[in-house]
Amino acid sequence: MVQAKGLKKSFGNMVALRGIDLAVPAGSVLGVLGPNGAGKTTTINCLTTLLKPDAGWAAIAGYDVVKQPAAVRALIGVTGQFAAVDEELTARENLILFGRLLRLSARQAAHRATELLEQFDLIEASKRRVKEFSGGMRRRLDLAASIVAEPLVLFLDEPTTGLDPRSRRQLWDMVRALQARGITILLTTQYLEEADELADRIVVIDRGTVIAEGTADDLKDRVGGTFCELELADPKDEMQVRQLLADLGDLQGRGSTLTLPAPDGVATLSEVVQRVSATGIVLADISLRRPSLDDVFFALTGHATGDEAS
Amino acid sequence: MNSADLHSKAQSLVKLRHESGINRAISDSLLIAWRNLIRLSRTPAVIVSVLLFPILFFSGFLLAFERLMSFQGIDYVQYLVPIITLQAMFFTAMGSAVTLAKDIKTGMLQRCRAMPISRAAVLGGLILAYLVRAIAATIILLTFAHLYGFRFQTSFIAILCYLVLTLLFTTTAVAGYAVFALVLRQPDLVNSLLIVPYAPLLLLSTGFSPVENFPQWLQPIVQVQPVSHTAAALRALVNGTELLVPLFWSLVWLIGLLIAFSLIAVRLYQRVS
Repeated sequence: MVQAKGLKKSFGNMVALRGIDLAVPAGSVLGVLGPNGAGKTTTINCLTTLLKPDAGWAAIAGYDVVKQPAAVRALIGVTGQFAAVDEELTARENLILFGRLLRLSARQAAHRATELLEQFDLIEASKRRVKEFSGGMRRRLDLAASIVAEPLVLFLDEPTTGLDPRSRRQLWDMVRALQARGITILLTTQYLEEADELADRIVVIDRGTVIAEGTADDLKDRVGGTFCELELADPKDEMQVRQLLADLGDLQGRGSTLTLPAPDGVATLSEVVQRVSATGIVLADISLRRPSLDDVFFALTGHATGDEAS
Repeated sequence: MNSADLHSKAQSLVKLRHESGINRAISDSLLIAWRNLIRLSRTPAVIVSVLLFPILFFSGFLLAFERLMSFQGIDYVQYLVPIITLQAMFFTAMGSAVTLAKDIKTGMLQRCRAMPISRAAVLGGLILAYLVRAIAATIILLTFAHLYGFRFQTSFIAILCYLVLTLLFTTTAVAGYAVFALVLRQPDLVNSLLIVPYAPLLLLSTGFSPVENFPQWLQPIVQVQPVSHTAAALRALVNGTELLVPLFWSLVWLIGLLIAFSLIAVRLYQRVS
């Protein structure tokens, strides 16, 4: 449904995209994950006809974004990083305006506005001006405005950046509901958790290139599978435990917290428990841990997700 | 949905939501104008300034210069109303520039650009909405001036022509200020530089004072610029003096600039990010 090959874009001397490839099959959610400055917004702007790529090719449902931009705009909905709705208008007026602009009749637009206000939990605030809205309410209205006339493809640029956890959960539920209706979604995020929660597949980009691609599980596997994490009741036991488990793998960590690669999962864990308890050493805690996407990002880029790409 | 269904759905959406053609441009402009008018009606400060500013300037200039001008044999009430009308139109256009700059900042323009709406609709909707404001401002000013003894010495048709020329001037000014806002983009910057085109065009014109009162070297510039010609044409429509020459040059200027500004504005609009 969405395809891009070798997208490149520079702004003066600043190279934003160095050749982005991606594909979003119909009805699926692609998460584009990367830190600030990685090129996420530029990618979205190229795909939504807001920017002309310098090189490369992209299409929505087979329509070329450079050669047939008007056709592309007829098929997409876009929610940008800033909730772009009119502050002086009420929530209902905003939705009616966008509905009318998308060729709904006056009656259809009014009907659709009510429907969306209910769905997005804004019905009580529908007559208030948007400037009185909280950040979460604005984002919800923005999302509602993007789907007034059901698009085939929805682009969400960092839909939850700056939202409190409750509003974020709410927005996630709404995105899931849209996916369930068959809308193809491309969302960018700097939150690994968000990509993990919402996306069928994830593309990790950094400094304008795709550095990894796959499902969340694929990516986690690339860092090495599961770890067994053990916490000693008494840090003095560290040396003894190290000797005890030396043949099981490379033991990381120091003091009371140690981690061990656990390719066999539970089997490794129970082996550790048996060996340690046989010597009478007390464990405060032991668990199996899948790597988080943060670990993945660090492993792939060598810098943490919070870092600005320089 | 299988891929054949998707394909035909895509095709029908592309057909339904096409964005080209004059009908589309008009209907989309009207929708954007409706939205701009709602905004205007909810900004009380703007309404007050529309009503009040032209009246303040009219009264102020009259008090300061009426006697002085009478020594030159000029009935200043009759002389002044046209340029105060154009000044009010400048204020109107400045208001439109601020609105546009805000829309760039909030991302509203981006959203419109990613929607299948006419590329001319944002400018068209801005012009239409501000024409409504311009009509209100002109009527209020003319009514107030009437109390000071201002009278059209001509015909009803001349009054209509006065309005039409005023609105053409507004259209060109809004398009010009749209280019201004699309180049500068930051609302603060736009706001603080609003008077840069306005002040010289208005003050260095024959609107407030005849060309003989300017320094010799400046007279050619004062005489040739669009505000002078338009003010002269409006004065002719008020007082029944020689109309054709100033009207001709005014139309050449205003229509020429309008075409140029509109083309540039629509171009710039498509690059806003």
